Amino acid sequence: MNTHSKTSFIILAIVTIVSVLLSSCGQATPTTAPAQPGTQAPLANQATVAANNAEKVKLSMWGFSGSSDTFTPEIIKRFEAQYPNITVEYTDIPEDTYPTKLETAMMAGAAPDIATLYKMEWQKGGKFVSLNDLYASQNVNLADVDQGGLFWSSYGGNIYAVGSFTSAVLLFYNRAMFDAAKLPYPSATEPMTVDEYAALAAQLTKKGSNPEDTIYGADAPVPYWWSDYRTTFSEDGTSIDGIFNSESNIHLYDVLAHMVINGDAPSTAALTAMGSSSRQDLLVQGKMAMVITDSQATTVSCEANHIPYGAAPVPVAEKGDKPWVFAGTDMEGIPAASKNIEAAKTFLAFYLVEGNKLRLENGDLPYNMKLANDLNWAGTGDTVGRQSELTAINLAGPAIIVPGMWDVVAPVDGAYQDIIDGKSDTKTALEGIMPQMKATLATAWETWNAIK
Amino acid sequence: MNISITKLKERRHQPWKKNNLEEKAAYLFLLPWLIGLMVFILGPALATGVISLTNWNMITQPAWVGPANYIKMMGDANFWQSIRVTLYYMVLAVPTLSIVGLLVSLLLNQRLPGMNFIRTVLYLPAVLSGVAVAVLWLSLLNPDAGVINSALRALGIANPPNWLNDAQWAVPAVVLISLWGVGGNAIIYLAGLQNIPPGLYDAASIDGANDIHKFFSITLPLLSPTMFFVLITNLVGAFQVFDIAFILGGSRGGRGGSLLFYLLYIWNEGFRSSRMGYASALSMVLIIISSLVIVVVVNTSDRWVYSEVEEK
Repeated sequence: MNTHSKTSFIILAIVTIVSVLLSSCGQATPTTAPAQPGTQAPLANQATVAANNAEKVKLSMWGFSGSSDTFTPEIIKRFEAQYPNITVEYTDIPEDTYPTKLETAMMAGAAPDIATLYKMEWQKGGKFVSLNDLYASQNVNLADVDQGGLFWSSYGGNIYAVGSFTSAVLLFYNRAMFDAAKLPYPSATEPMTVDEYAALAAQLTKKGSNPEDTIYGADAPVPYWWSDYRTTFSEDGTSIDGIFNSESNIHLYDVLAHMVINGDAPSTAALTAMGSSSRQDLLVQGKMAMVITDSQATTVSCEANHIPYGAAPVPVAEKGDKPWVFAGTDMEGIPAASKNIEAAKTFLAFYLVEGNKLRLENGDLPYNMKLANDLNWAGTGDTVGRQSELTAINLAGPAIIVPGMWDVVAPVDGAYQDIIDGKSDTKTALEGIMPQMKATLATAWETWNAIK
Repeated sequence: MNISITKLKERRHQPWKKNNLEEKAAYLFLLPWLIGLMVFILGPALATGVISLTNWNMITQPAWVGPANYIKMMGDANFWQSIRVTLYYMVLAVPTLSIVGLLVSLLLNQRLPGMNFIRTVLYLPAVLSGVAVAVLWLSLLNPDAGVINSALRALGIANPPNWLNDAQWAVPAVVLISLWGVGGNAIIYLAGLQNIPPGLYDAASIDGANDIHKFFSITLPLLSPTMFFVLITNLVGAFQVFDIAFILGGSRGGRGGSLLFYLLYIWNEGFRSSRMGYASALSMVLIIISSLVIVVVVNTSDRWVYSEVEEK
């Protein structure tokens, strides 16, 4: 190597090494230790609101409530009026990018002070602060809150989030359509079997010459997301053998698929042709007598459009199966890397109490179900609909933890469509995707178990 | 100025001598780019290599696992599916885009009224956002209500393809969407065509060559460097398909993984499933595969790319 090349090589080598070192200086060192379950992370620069009320604190809050959300700006406004030294800056992030963005921020030590919980891995990994003391300090009895929402907010005996509303996946029906057909309303306490559901749908369907003119008796979406997770996974969430391909579950999928085939429930193409963006739209428009959908949006929509509605737990596979209601709440928590934990707790304490009251004012069912009963939520609006909804939601209970569940069940949509399209019988379709589901489930548990 | 060859050679090998200001200036001007290359490309690439040897879930500290991620890849059905989908797209799209681009450029090279306007219109799709294009085509390719299938039915095709809902037609649908942006390739070819000296065509005409002779004997050989460039950029583009696949097939790669392109799979593993170590290993494999492909193409280019440099 001649002198010129040697010099150039040395210079380039030095530049390379320095640059690699610079680019490898990765995460900012967090100023807090990771929170352990049950403890609060010690901080060097906590803003202690009680100690110094004159100190100005600015809290950053991330969520994905959407641009049409009026609740969050209002609760922030009320909080700032009561605590003028604390300001809360809310950033709305699209839901599909929210988990990635928050995880990246947590890795970089730039997490917000308040954020919506999204993955149970964050609770398990100690990325959020335990809020057990907060519930106690606000005299909120854990038995009084929505149990489904409490389940998703907790892990390992600790609660990591507070909520303001309760929403559930229920079977909603148009009472007027049932009255016109002289059919009894579904029970709010005892779920129908899927066969009863299909028979009822057949009685309510009025077929037209095309999908736009047809009135469908019911909805038949792929069941993995609305039925009990225990119809897909074992109680410990680690297996699907003998559960997903059980006779009972195969029957569930078979009956629902045939509802679509028989024209008693709309196909994907029909839904596209009808141009509806949500299932509650079809209920409100009188195009579908029964839908399986979210309670918060449906109640608002039905009452706003003066549609008499009712609610019931979703259908089950067989008589005697336990009623299942998936319930949840907005889960606001405090990332462990927050630099303003005390001020953030002050906000969440306000959120837990005043947030629930604000939800009631807006007509939503609050997270605190005792408050809903005490202030007679079911006695306003469509009282028959609300009472049935409240009764059904009270059936909600703990779900099961399945890490990466949505990835595991991803192939089920295609299999369900194959059944509807007649490309496969139900048993073959479901068993055909099980190897892929099992492989994904195994990998998901491996990742989950590595989080300590 | 009278400088001996010896003195020039000395200066060349002693760049730090005061009178070699020009060489110093050259290195100084190169330095920002070099630093950028190291900090933003080579540095992260090296870091990716290191992370690929760990089990990092982005929640707890990375744990060293050695080559376990690479071994796991061999038995990962989704990995092989993503390789199949990406290679299938490459085999369909690269030749199609190259050939169609060339044909379009030959048309654009005609001297006709309004040609500038036509060139602008043809190039426009290439500058649109990939996400916007994908959302548009999602509607166009709707099997029941989309314009494409409605047109096919009007032409008498009773059962047009299900496009994105059919594993066999999903990748051809993406190729179709890519063809919509062929204006970019055509403009590059057009520049190459307009660099061919017209005198060669005149000389060929005098010698009795017809249009086909001229195309294969003059146009293609002299356009071969441009074709080589387009081939490389299309190959690189094929490895980088992400936004269209994400919008059309969702984050899980469409029906039966028919749109599980490699980059989408890396993103899923790293950012949705929080398996950054494994995603880094996938990235390293992508670097190796794409480098091999490019190296093969470059090394074989001598046989078909015309160069005007005389052989010594």
